[in-house]
Amino acid sequence: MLQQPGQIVLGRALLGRNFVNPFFDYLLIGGGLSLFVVGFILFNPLGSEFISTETLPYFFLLSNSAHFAASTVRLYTKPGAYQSLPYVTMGLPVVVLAVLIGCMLQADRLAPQLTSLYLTWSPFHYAAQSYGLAVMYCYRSGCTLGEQNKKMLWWVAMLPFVYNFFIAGNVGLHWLDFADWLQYPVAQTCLRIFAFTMPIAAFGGIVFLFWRIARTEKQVMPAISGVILFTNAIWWFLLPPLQAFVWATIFHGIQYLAIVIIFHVRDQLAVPENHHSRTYHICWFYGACILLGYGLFHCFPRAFIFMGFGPVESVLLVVAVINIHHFIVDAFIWRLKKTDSNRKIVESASPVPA
Amino acid sequence: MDAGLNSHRSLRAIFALTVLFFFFAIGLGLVQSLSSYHRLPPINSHYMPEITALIENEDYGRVIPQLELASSIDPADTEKNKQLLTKVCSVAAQSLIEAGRFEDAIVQYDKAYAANPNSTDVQNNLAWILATCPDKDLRDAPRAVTLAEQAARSTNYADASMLDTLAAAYAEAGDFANAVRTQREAIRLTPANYRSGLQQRLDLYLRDKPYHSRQSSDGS
Repeated sequence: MLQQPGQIVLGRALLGRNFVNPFFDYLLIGGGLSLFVVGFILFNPLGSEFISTETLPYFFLLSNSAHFAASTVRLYTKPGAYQSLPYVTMGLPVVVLAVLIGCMLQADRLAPQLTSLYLTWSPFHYAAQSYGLAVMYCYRSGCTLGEQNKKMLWWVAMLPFVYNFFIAGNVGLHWLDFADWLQYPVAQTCLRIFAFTMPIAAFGGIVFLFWRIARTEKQVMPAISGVILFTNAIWWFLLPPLQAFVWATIFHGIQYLAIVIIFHVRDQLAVPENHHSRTYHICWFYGACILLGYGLFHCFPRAFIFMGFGPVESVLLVVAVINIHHFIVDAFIWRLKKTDSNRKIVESASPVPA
Repeated sequence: MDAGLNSHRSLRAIFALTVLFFFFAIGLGLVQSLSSYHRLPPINSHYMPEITALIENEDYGRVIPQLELASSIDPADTEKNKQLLTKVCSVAAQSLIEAGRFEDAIVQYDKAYAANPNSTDVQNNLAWILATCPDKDLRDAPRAVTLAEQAARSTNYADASMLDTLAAAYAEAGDFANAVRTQREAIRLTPANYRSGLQQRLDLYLRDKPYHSRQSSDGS
């Protein structure tokens, strides 16, 4: 049967405008790849054990460590970053290093607090990234969101974080000294109801968003925005806490590396005096991320161990501080101000025809 | 760089120093890595969330291998591994006590003791739970006395919490005369505003009654 023009337009609008191609965008940036892996973990009798502890560190280096380093590499290679963000580029590292040394000296008191802060912040960061990417794809695909829809998208993206904040041990409420309150039978009942309803609200919220945006905006929300929200929710709601943390970090890393490399390469190709190929810029950026990731996560803690600090404290605090630095840097480098190169990249193609 | 940056001259100078320190530390860490260890896991400190979660999920058996990987401790460095094992098992035991799982807590303290039998903290904590555990089947007075005496001796009988434990062990073993004498010494060594718990236990020993914890170990 011949497709009607309206169906074709709707199909294209739903597909959205991708950065590379639908396969790449949906699989890596959208997190589609994680759906296969999560399915494999949930239905494979070996669970996540199919990745051995021998190979996992390499996997972490190539995705996680590289991803945390990527925000730093992006910050210092982003055109005009020193001028537009002087305190983030030059002030933040000084503050972070001072905090790190201060915490090393008071490790017994401060290390658990800093670790809990970073563990509490991480799911928020992932949720905020999902929101940012979902809005970016909407914007890029010609789906201009009104304030109400934007707010709703924000809350739907935040639900996995909220869930984690209330439920997970040692972080969120449990860290903020509410653990005793949570032991009361009433609180326990509320938490059970909360744990049951949150996944429904999160997944139902995504469906509701599609429906509401289709009704209230000129353009439907691209499916990739929904997939991004969906995969983040899957990580936190379906996997046990430990696996959720590990896999969310890995897939968040892959997602982040994919999008940041796209932005970096487009920035570099737009420089008039550029004479390198796309492949060169991809390899340069990713190579720099791996090298810096190795330095940050492998060498940096050892320097503190060498200076006489405890091995566990050194690793724990360096990881926490690098993560927090990454969260803060990220909050600045993805802004879409009119004068920012990010804006040009997001707008780099005409919107999907309505 | 340009006019915008000239207004941040001191910030640039501090930033340059920070970068220098950072690369110096990275270099130092790299040299350490290359000179100290033959087999290097490529890192990962990202094991830390996993380790935290393992502790949280009480999967203590996997914590040490993860810690070794995370901090790249040489598996042959048995001394460091022993210290780590002691630390992790003690933390685990404490959280199990708070959860009222005394049998599991004793298992963890036993592991800590096996790894580091000279740790006075482990001796003291294990002795305390063996003497005061609410579950009478788990109490072991002779072992509690032996461990508490070791701990008290190591601290030259000058640490109030060790003496508090020793008194509890004596009381559990039925030696109330020694329990009263030791508890009085513990009270003498304790600041006045922290004596109430110790005094309550002394009152029990004076009535020939041993002290048993209720929900959780309260502190020695």
